[in-house]
Amino acid sequence: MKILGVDDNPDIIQLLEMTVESLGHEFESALGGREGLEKIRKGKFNLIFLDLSMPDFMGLDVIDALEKEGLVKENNIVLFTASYLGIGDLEKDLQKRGINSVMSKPADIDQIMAKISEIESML
Amino acid sequence: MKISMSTTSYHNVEKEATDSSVKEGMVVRPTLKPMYRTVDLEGVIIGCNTKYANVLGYTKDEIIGMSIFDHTPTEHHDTIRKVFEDWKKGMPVNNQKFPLFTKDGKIFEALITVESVIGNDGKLVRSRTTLLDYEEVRQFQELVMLSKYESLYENSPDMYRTVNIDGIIVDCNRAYEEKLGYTKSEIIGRNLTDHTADRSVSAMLINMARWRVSGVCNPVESWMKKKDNTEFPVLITPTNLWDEDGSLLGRNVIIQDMTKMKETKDMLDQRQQIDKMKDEFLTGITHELKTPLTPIIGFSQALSKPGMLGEMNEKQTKAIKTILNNAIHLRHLVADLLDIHKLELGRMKFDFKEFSIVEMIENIQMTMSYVVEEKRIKMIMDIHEKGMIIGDRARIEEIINNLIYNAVDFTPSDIGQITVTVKRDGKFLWFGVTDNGVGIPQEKQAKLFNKFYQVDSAVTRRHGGTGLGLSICRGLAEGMGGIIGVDSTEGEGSTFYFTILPGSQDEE
Repeated sequence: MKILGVDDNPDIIQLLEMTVESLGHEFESALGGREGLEKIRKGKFNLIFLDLSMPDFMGLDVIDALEKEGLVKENNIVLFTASYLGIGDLEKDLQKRGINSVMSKPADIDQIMAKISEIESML
Repeated sequence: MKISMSTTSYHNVEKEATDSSVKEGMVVRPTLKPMYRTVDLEGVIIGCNTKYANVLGYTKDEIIGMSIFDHTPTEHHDTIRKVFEDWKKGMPVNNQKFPLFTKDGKIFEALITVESVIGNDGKLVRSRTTLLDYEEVRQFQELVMLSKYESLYENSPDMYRTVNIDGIIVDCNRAYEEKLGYTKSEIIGRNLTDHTADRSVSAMLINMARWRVSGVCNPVESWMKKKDNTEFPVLITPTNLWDEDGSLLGRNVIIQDMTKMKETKDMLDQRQQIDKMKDEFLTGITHELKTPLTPIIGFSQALSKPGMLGEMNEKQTKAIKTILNNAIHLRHLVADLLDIHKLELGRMKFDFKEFSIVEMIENIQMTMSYVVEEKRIKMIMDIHEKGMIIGDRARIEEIINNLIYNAVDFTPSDIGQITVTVKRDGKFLWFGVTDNGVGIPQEKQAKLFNKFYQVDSAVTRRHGGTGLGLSICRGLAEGMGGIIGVDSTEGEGSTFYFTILPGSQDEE
């Protein structure tokens, strides 16, 4: 599988890379929302881990842009969030818009691995 | 200047006072001197005082020998006769109002009180009659009233000022003098804007202009200026003054110094600001605390997974597991802090959905089984409510799990027993976790649900609690419309219980 990680925190990118590669998948990264959006437009990914809060161009901005281009549903997007107020409503809203799931930070490596296996089994 | 107030009419008295050339500013001391006359049993006046003679317009000598009927208007003779005859039979006469007739034909009313004079033989001899000029009584009462108002005006702790239609100050009280630092002579005749702080002058001028046109005078907040130019906030409450024809003369104004109140308000505003900053800080800091936890936990997990990042020796594996456990504990702590923060701000969101109580209990039994089995404690599920309900299943589970963890901590191995009860209590659902552990001393029970309270700190260290568990449980139970509590007897065990108000089908 080809998996993209979008997060402004390089440590989290490194963790994702390590986890993805240990399971034998291909990993690409973007350290910001705009870079992530460019990569999604250019290449096809089986799974995207997208951080919600990034400076300047946030995860939600990426989703808004992809929605306009009709690209949300064909990408399995998992949104990472460390925000804590009103996640319940946000999650419901995002799932209606075609987001695969919302994972709250600090995320567990087991959760990440489980998500990868879940998508893999659907292919 | 003649002034009348819409509420009372004491202008007559004031007119009287000025007419009798009372000096301005001098307090009129009201006096009320009675008239006396002595009357025999035939109604003949046998004596009187000078005032009686003066008021009726006779000399004393002229009066002696006259009949009381000579001093009574003809049309009242019958009435007087009846009262006189009744008096002789023993009927008292106290402060009765009768008309009197003066020498020059004027009629005035008097309040008459009759005192009977009894002779040595015990028989009625004559009357001694006290007469009060009714108009004098009325004026006396009004003067007393006026002096009461004057006293209120003068001695009020609030500032009072009276201004005319042009805003010229015509009177003020002692508090006004003292507060502003002027003497009365410096104040009278000034325009009220001279005592208005610069920042309030234009508002005051607009207010006065509107008042002159409409007569509307509502309380306003303003700033005043003292003689030394310092400014202070006030609340101005005006009352209109009208003359007899109903035209606006001026206004009487109560001015309250609002300095203290404003200080208090500013302090409260400041405190609210600080609270808001504290909330934002706490929200921000907990968010920031979570971010580095992801790589810490993630890499520790990766390292402790056999072979994922290469092989490690036993000591290294043990060290990384310790890091991982502590990082997980830290994550727990941050999550608890966030929950408490949300509960305190009232921003906790509950996710109400329909679910099966039995399924939830089965899940609890499964997740908690390793905890109780480790201590060989028996766990019994006593479920009386088996239907579907609407509620936040995850939060209910969280409370029950928390109570079970606590029970396990305070229950002995092997002989320990924990019972989880679910039953209906009116419109509420009642959940209880009962143990046969050490129990909790009475004096500590009330504090249990406070933040960071620990009955036994050694247990916390052993089990790595956050000290927030029960206070979160309380917040959650209350957030779901219920209560939380404990029944405990030392040495016998405890029952922690909570209730929730389940939603109804149509709410979803």
